[in-house]
Amino acid sequence: MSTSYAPAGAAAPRPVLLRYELEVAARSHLGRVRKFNEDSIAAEPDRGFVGLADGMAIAKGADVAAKLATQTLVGQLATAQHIAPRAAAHAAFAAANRAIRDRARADPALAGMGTTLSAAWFRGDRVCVAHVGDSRVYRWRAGRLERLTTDHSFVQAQLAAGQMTTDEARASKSRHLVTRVLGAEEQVAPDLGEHEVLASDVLLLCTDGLHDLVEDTDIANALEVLEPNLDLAAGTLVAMANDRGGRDNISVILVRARSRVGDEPQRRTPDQHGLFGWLRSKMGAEGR
Amino acid sequence: MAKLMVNRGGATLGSWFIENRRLTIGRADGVDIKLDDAAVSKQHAAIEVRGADHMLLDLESANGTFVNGTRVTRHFLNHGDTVEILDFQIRYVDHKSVVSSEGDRTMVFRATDAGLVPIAPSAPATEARSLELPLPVAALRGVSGKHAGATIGLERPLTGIGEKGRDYAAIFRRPEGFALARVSGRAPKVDGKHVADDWQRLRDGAVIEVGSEKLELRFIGKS
Repeated sequence: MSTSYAPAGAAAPRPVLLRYELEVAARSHLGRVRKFNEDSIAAEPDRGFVGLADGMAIAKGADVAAKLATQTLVGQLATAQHIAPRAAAHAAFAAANRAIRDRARADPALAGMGTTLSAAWFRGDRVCVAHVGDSRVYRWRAGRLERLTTDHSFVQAQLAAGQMTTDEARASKSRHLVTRVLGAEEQVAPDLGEHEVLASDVLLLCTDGLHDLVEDTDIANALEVLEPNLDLAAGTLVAMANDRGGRDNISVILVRARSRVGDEPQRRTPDQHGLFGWLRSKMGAEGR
Repeated sequence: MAKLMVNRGGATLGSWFIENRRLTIGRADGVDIKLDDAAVSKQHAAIEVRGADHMLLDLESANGTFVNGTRVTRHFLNHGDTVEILDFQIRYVDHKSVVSSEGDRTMVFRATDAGLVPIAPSAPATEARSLELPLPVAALRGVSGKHAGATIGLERPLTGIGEKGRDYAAIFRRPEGFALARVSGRAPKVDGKHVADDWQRLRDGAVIEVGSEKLELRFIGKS
């Protein structure tokens, strides 16, 4: 069970809103243990938005909560093109929280459902990163992997307070205790961060199905080698989590900020060179 | 629910459930688990609840607290651990932490003034963090090109071959073997055949061509 998005095609450029063209590769995989995929992913590269959610529930509705979260976010951000990203993200997370709680009130079988939500919203030459829960956003820039989010989790709080060592945290049975989610309470505030975007930055959004099993150093290794081919990189990160047990659903979104054509000279890949390259591009990758 | 089973000299002295609170072990009256021996300290050890974990703490006892033969000052308990205090043995049993078919579940806690209050019921958690499957060991030997005669180790999950930004391929080290895929540029060849943008398994002795480089894969064994 895998969903993938083709890279952003020849969409009409929106120079005012998006300084960069976004190339997206995404996967949401069941993993090797779970029976249902309770993650949800959304990518709207033309609108400069990506987000993902990892649902959870006391009884039922984990998948419902995750889908409501990403769908509400997409809907909200679409109507908020000209609002400052921070304000828009705040409003969108509040709306997603409301949508989940309203649905749970309307259908008692869904009472107690909740979800993480992590999103990146590109505007101009900046990106607004918002999150609730333990789905992470990383940035790959100039050969370095950096976490842009801090998990809302029990273990993270213990680490920050010096109550647990990194090794203890790694082995802890509390690794899956999330301390902030959408749906649990009347009010929820996302953590917000705003970052400058540089050409060829890659953001990685992922649920704990990836980062719980695959160490940051291995994620960095995969991006270092596979980054030129985002789609292969996304599929490979999922495969790495499955190779390590695939205990949870695994969702991964990779977004690359690319300079727009005409903005600065585009580097041509070798297979675009000359007539032979043109022929090959018409025929698809050779040897398939 | 996690349980402590106390033994001495082969005789069972009792068992205690760890409820959601601190539990004390020692010789004094009023401790939760009383170990009646003069060499046990009055307040010898304690077990505290930390999220879904149980943490054993030695309370600066005179004769020490051991887990599976090692002296500890603090230790996060795992299913099957044996805590030793002198000749008392306390077995820690936590069936819910044993891998279940449903795997990990993310649990939700609410932060309140009183600490973290669960808003979802305790759910199965796994003992081992990730599955550590043995990985195959192999290396690349340069046949021709810039690595001719050289050996390239394949220790990392992914190893790039060729020239980044041009003809470039990757080797993926997985429990079931090594695989190759194109990353950029012209499609690489394995034993003379082109490889598409998906992982293709490699046999021992496979000859790989990426751009002007030619290498041979040599299996060494399992780690």
